[in-house]
Amino acid sequence: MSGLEQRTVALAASVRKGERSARDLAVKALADIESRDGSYHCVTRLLMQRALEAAERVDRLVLQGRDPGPLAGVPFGIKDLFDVRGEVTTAGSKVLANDPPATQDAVVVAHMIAAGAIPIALTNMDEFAYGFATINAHYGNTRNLHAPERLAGGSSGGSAAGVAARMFSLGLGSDTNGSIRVPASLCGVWGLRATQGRLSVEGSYPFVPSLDTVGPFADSAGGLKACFEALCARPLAEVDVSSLRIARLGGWFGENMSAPMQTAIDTLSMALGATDVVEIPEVARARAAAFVISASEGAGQHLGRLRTQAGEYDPAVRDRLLAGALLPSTLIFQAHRLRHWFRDRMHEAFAKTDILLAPALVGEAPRFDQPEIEIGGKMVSARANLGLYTQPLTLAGFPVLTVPMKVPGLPLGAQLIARPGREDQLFALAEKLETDGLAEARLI
Amino acid sequence: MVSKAEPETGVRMTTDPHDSEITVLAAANGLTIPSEFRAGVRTNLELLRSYGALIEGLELPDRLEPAFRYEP
Repeated sequence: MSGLEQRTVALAASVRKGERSARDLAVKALADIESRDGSYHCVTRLLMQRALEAAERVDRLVLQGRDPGPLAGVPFGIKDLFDVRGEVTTAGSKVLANDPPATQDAVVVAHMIAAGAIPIALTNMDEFAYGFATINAHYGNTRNLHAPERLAGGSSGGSAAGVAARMFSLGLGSDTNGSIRVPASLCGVWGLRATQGRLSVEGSYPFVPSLDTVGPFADSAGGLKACFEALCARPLAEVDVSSLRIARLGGWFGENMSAPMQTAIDTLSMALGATDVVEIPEVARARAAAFVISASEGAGQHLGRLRTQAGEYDPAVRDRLLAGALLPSTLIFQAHRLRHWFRDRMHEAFAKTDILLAPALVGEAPRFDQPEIEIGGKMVSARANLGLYTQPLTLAGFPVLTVPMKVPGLPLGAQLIARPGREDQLFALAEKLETDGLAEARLI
Repeated sequence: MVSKAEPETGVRMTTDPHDSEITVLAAANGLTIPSEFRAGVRTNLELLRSYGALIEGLELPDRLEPAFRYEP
């Protein structure tokens, strides 16, 4: 056992009171990962020394009667694209594996440690975050804890699956096109893509600089909020949840759902009184723009190495990057103009509502041996279309919280979307959904 | 499909028009794409072009600026 029977807020409270030792928790978590992760590949490296140093510091502060921070003793996983002092940041690649170790922690990692959280492990990802599956030719595929023959989702799959496995209570990930929301949904944990620019990306390896965001996974709504507050280094304002106006996204976001996802979204909408349906125009084009910007900027990021070391990349990622390098620059310009246009439409969608509700994915996690899924009556790539509902929202940069809906069968996630900067409203609603028994992280 | 190589430019001549196109586009960016990568690159390029058609299918005002920087 990892010792993580308590959820984040309760766990931190027990450490702060001196009822539990942060060092004991860290030792148990490290041993648990070593004994269980061989089957799941959530983790690529343990941070043994950093974990023990951080845990001993927390215990020492508690003993001295000083404040160890709101996340005291809570173990967290770190997607291997964040700098961690003394570790090489590989971003899931081999081509960076011989880079010098980072000399300082990424800003979000530093904020977590300052809040008392314990860095326990680096986690698996799609190479350079370019994928929705956490299928990695170099470091292995992360398996879904709830059905190991199925995808955990990606690209931050190791952080999401590790939270679902109770290997750590919180995880750090990045979300460019859905890389937090997709694995959170498939693994049954809470996740947040913050407002673009709200959390610092300093010290994280870039994928698509104009769309990249970083954010947390958590074992509970309260844990997600506490983690976000630590990442922002400031508390959120309280929100009267009864005052929130909630509507459902229709059109693109109301089509192609599996029967279980349709039922889950209908049930959640009804429970929230979300009877109004809002449609955003030209969602397919918005998704297309996100796709093209990602391929082009990603290719630009790697162009030098693609000229000389393309054969050392994960083949799937390599081919996407090379194709991105062949696009005309005028198309990228048009995509960024469309981005501007689409953001204006998103603001209009919030004219009479505070929160929009949408599915996170079309359905449950696909199997590894299931290359295609049916969308719009056509068989299409399962891996490429995991971002069907997340990718268009990326273009606008609004904050999105993934809710693990309480459903029978495999996990299913919903997206709650708010206006830029209104994460406080998302957390207020998330905590109510958890309290009311409509949502719950599915931990093993 | 490769019929001959021109070492002075690094551009390979091919008989397949799609392959030739990839060769020329790649060379414009200083890339040489080996034959074993071509099928995957072509599949991805076709997908991206389908998205490109969607983007260009929406008429936007001339004075609409690109949103390179994010401003909520």
